[in-house]
Parts: sequence; structure tokens; C-alpha cells
Amino acid sequence: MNWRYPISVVSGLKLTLFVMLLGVMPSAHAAADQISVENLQAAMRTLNFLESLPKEGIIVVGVVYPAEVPTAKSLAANTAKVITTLAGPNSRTLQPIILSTTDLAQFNGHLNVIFLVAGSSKHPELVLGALRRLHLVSISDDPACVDTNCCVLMIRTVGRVEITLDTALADAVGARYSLVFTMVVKRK
Amino acid sequence: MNPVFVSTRRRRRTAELGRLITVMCAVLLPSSIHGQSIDYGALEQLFKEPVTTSVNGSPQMASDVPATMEIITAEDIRRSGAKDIPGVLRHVGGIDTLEWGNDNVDIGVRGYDQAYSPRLLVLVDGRQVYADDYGYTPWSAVPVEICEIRQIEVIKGPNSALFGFNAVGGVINIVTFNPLYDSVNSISLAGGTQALGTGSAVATHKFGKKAAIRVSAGGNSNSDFSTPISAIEMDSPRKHQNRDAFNFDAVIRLNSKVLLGVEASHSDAHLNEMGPDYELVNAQYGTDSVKGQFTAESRFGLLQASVYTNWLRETVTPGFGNDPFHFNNRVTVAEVHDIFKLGTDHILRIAGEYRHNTENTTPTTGASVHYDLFAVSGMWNWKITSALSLTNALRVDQQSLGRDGIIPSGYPFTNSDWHRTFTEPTFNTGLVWKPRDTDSMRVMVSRGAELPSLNTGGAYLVVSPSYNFTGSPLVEPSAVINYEIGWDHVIAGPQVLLRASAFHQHSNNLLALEGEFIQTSGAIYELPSDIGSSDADGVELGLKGTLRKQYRWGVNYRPEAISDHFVPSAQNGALAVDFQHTTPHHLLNANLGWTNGKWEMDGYLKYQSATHGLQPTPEDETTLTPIAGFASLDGRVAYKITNRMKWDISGQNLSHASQIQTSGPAVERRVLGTMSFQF
Repeated sequence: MNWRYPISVVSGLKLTLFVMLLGVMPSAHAAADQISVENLQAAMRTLNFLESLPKEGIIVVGVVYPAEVPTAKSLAANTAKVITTLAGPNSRTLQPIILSTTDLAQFNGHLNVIFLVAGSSKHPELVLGALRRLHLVSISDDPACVDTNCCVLMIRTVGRVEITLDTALADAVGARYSLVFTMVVKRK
Repeated sequence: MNPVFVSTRRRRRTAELGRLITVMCAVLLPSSIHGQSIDYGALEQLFKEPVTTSVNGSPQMASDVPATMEIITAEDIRRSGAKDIPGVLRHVGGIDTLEWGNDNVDIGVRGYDQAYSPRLLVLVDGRQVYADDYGYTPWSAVPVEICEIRQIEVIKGPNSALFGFNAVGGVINIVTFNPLYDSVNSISLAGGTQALGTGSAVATHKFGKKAAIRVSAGGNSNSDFSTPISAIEMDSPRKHQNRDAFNFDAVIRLNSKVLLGVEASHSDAHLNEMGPDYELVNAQYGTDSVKGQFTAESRFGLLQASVYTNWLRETVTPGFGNDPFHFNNRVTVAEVHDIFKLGTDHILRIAGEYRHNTENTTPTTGASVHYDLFAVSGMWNWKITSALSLTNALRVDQQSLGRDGIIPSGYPFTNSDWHRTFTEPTFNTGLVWKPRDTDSMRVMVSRGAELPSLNTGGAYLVVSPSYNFTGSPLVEPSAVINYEIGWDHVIAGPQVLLRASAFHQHSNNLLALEGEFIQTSGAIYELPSDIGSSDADGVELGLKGTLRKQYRWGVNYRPEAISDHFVPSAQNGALAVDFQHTTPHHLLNANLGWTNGKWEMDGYLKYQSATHGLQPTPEDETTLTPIAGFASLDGRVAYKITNRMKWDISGQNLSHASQIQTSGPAVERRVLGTMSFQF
């Protein structure tokens, strides 16, 4: 047989090695101006383990964006749109409200939880003030929020689902998670 | 006195009493985490991977555990097309199966498989279902239906520091659905080759959010394989086989933090079985169990307690002479655990266990052997950095033997010879490094211990004019040391998981059921014997993934070499034990599955390289016999008629009408048609 491009065993091994190296290389994270539906799904599923959440009724989710970033509002709107398609614990309705970080600082309405879109954690004083005042749980998929201590939960779904719980912030805002959940997640 | 006032006061007292009991439950009666206290479904949905407590006692994601572990999910079980648990396990990488008959399979982890395989600890929701008489698992008598299993956790290597004695080769923990969180309601009926007829039903009922029960029942009737069997292997002709089982599981939420669980089970199984001397016998099993457990989340941590009793009745025909063996075994286990966090970086677990185990002597009756076991254990999981964690578990068991009853004339022991105590430390240490989200590396060292079974410890007693045998109080536990490294890597794009591990195991004080002789003034008695040690080196490689959501595939390969260091009288399998020659050097499994709307198709290929098996000799010893390498094919096609009704056809060993896979009779092709209905 006259193969023009014969694939030898060595070539096969090289190809295998190349594929594996591709896998070993760090995966690119979702760009800051994109929504990860997987992250949002995981974020809303963590509410199953939030024992301090009221047991019944609609769950109001504040979607918080940084006011100074031009594209952030539309990102928040898209995030809210995805959240409306998801279900809370026991199939409860999730009702998103879009708020800028400055809106959040003055907000006096009812919220159960907030989701911080990328960039919101650049305003830790505004976010933390609201969290403490309104006894809110904050969730984000922006790794920067861990460093600025803005998020009770930071969620990433690159490869595996990784959840980091800020135990000090959870205590400060009165968030109680099931013990089993706190043992499975990373604790900060 | 005003009756209304009395009634109110009574109600208050009742309420106070209720609160007191609840508090006592929470503080004094902590219970076992195994199985029922965790909402596995919600956690799996969140983390997109199974969660387990079977490695260090605390809940962990499968990718975080400091052990080489396979979790077989409910979907894997369904798509295996298997009618029983061994049929599911035969597709798992690194699992050895010896299929002696339609209902009789011995399972080993990382080799060391043998008839009445004793190195594997098998549990259902944390309750042991292996039989203490010989220390093995009669799979047909396990009272659980396939469709009520949430996941089967296979932990490879010793895990005695968590589970205690006998978790030396590995642990298989079968986790059922929790009726409080999962509603499983189904009926299935199946028929197939070997005159197989089987039925199974599972129903769950929730009483609001406070309580739930799950009840299951199943039955199975079949003829065994009809492939030829040599006269020397056939102690008894093969008979029709059947099984029935019942299981009850209730969970009551006493308050938001305290759960009470009650379980009860019953099973009967009649089957043809390859005995420990490699002769085919007829066995009848009857098992019963009751279990109660409390689980409480409190400021002291996850406090848990459980108590259970298992009863096992086993009749083996023929026994010795005209007397069948009647083994009656009862084991009661009480466990207390507390798992708690210390700061953000430490999880600790402290536990205590008491176990009382007793069995009558047979076929010569009139005495019983028993032991009491106390164990304390601790586990410390330290998150050194965000990427590095260290888990240390240590357990110390103290076993006190005893014997009551008659002393036959010329018997080499007195009951006081059983007044012995063994203390065995076991440990598991594992370092897990996750340099990035997609990689997890493990380094592990562990020591496990295997108790002599009750039969080798004295319950097996033959006193006759021609031959005498007794189990002995002098046999000591075996120990297994395991060194292991492992690497998991996720290739996120094509959704591929690579798993690799390499291990070295050293086992000492290995036991044969016979081989030692003792001369008394009145008789010669044969006893179990310590035959030496064994070393194993092996590698496990696995790849699995999905493609375009329609396809799932997997391939795993285990090369392994075992070197036995046995006393001369036990070499070449003479005493019914040989691991070096009977463990295949190469095991390969591959599977491919396809889904498209209402259709599902799955195929499983298993290859085992040439090896040896053991067969009896006219001199009442055993000898090695070669077994050619073989490949066998299993498969399943399923069609969903409606959302509630499904039809499927599955088969095992499809490539050959009959095929020699062990030293016993050849296995036959099996085909099974199943209709299942969910309600």
C-alpha cells in the first residue's frame, strides 16, 4: 500500500504526547466580558447548602456590576437573563435585580444573595459595606474577589468545579452553610 | 386539678423530654457518616463529580481523595447492563474476577483473588456485608437491588485505618439512595438464558420533609452453567439457583440538624459455589440485619453513631462425611465518630468502635468461638497550602478471642488457649498536590491488617475417626503494607480524564486453611498454617472521556507482578493459595457507549493474559492448571419506550458460547432481556 503520509508508531506517540501537553497547559479562563453559564449554575446550586437562606419564597439575587466599566452593565443584564432560567433550591424562583456597585451601597430593598460580575471586587468598601448592612451572601466567579475579601464564595468551573469559602466573611455576614458543604469546599 | 392544666403540663413535659432526647442524640449518640447523612445527589450536581466519605471519613470530592479510587455512578451501573454487583465490577479497572458460575463470582482488587476471596471488605452504606465465617463476600446474599444503588465506591489498597480489619486489598462501599433526598420508584422484570427469571421493585415514600422510607425487594431464579466440570472438582452436583432479598431504609429528621436512620434487611440465596478448597459445593445463605444510626450537626462537628447486628446462616453441602456445615454467625458493631474542623486548614475525625463476633463450631457442634474488639482511630486532614494537603489516619484495634463449649477427646487446645489478645495498629498517610485545577498527584503509604476468619480461628472443627481438623487460636493477623503514587489529569477540552498509579505491596503472615499438623495423645489434628509472605508491584493506567455528548468511552490497563515467598509445603498452590501464578500479568478493559435520543448502546471488552488457576488433586491438595489468555465481550442495547418505561437487552461473554476463564467450569454466554418501569 502506498501511503503518502505514513503514520508510524513514533509519530503516533509524538501526537499523543502533544495532545497530553496541550492538556497539561493551563486552560484559558473565560474572558472578563463573558458569562460562564456553568459558573452561574454552580453559584445558584450552592444555595442548596446555605442554611441561613429563608426556606420558602422567591430568592432575590442582586447582580452587581462595576459602574465605571462601560460593558459591565450589559454583562450584568446577560447574567441576570441566565439566572432567570435557573432554579433555586427545591425549584424555587430566582429573581435577579441588576445593581451597580454604587447602587448597591445605597440599596435598602430586599436581597437574599448577590452575584458579583467581573470587576465589582475593585470596590471592596462598597461591596463589603452592603454585605454587612444587608447580611448578604456574595458569590462571584472573579478570582480577584478572593484577594479583596469581597466574596463569601468564589466559584470556578475550569476543568473541575472549585469553590472557595471565605469563612471569616461568611461569619461576618451571618451566612451559615451545611457542615458537609464546608468540608468539601476550599476554605479561606 | 384542672384537666386542661394537667394536659398542658404533660405536653410541656413531653416536649421537654423530646428536646432532651434530641440533645442527647446530638451530643451523646453521634453516628456513622457512611451513606445516609449526606445529600450525595445535590453535591454531585454541584461539583459535577461524585462525593465520597469512604477514604478518610469526611466528605470529599472524588478528585481530592488521598487514595486510588473508582466511583461507579448510578448511570455507570445502569449502562453496564449487569444483573448483579459482580457484573458491574467486572468492568472496573484493576478488579480481578473469578466467575465460577452464574451466581458465584470472587472479586479481588489488585490481584490476590482466590475462591472465597478474603482480602476485600464490602459494605452497604457502611454496614459490612462480607461474611465473617470465612471472611469473604457471598455476593448473591447481599440484600440490595441494583436500581437502588447511588454509587459503588472502590478503594484500592489497604484502608484499615478507617474501616478496620479486612480492608487490606481494598474496600467496596455500596451507597444506596437516601430516601430523604432521592425518590426511587421502579419495577423491573427480566428473563434470559440459563432459565433466568428475575424481578425487582423499589419504592420510596416521603412523609413531608420530616421522614422518608425506601423499601426494596427482589428475586432471582436460574440454572447454573451447564458446561462440563471435572469429577474431582465436583463435590456436589449443580442445583437450581435462586435468591430473594428485602431491604428497608427509613430516615427521620428529628430537627434540622439531627437525623435518625433505621435499616433492616433479609436475604436468602441458594447457589453453587466454588469452595475454598476449589471444589464445587451447594451453599444456602440466610442473612438478616438491623441497624440504627444518628447523625447530628452540632458545634462539636458532625457527630455520628451507629449500631447494627448481622446474622448469617450458611449451610454447605456436602460438608464432612454425612454432615453438612452449618455456620451460624452473629456480629454486632457499635461505632461512634466525630468529624470537625479546626480553623480553615484542618479537618479531624475521632472515632471508636466496638465489635462482638461469634460463631458456632461446625460440623462438630457443641462449642462456639467469639471475639470482642475495641478500636480507636483518628484522622487529620491538613491543608498545608491551597494546592497541597496531607491526610494521616491511625487506628489501633485490640481483639480478644474466646471459646466456650465442649472440648473433644484428644483435642489439642483447651478453651483457655483462646484467651489471647492481639493489638494491631494500622494507618493511612496520603499527600495530595493539585498544582492546577486539572492535575492531582498523590503519594500514599498505608498499612492494613486482616484478621483470621472465625473458621480459621476455631469455628471450623472436624472430629472423626478418620480425620480431625480445627481452626486455631494461634493464627495471627496478616498485615499488608502499601506504597503508592498516583496522578489524575483532566484534559478539559475533549473531556478526558487520565488516571495513573503505581504501587508496591508487601503482605506477611498469609494464611492457608490447612497445612499445619499437631499430634496429641489421642489424635492428629490438621490446622490452618502461616505460609509466608508475598510482594506485588503494579501499575494502573486509565483514560476515560466523552465525545460530543453522545459517546462515552474508557480504557484501562493494569500490569502486575506478584512474588510469593511461601514455605515449601505451600509452594505451587499446594495449600489452595497461590498468588504469584494465579494473578494475571495483564488486565485490560475498554468500553464504548453511545446515546441518541431514546437509544443507548454500550460495549465492554475485557482482556486477561494467560495465567493459572488452582484445581484439587486426589491427594486432597491443590495444583496449578494453566488458563489461556482470553477476551470477553459484554454489551447492552436499551430503548426508552416512554419516559417511564424502558426495554433493554444485555449480555455477558457474548463473543463465545462458552469460554474457559478460571480453573473451574467454562463460563457461558448470557443474554438477558429486561423491562423496567419507573413510577
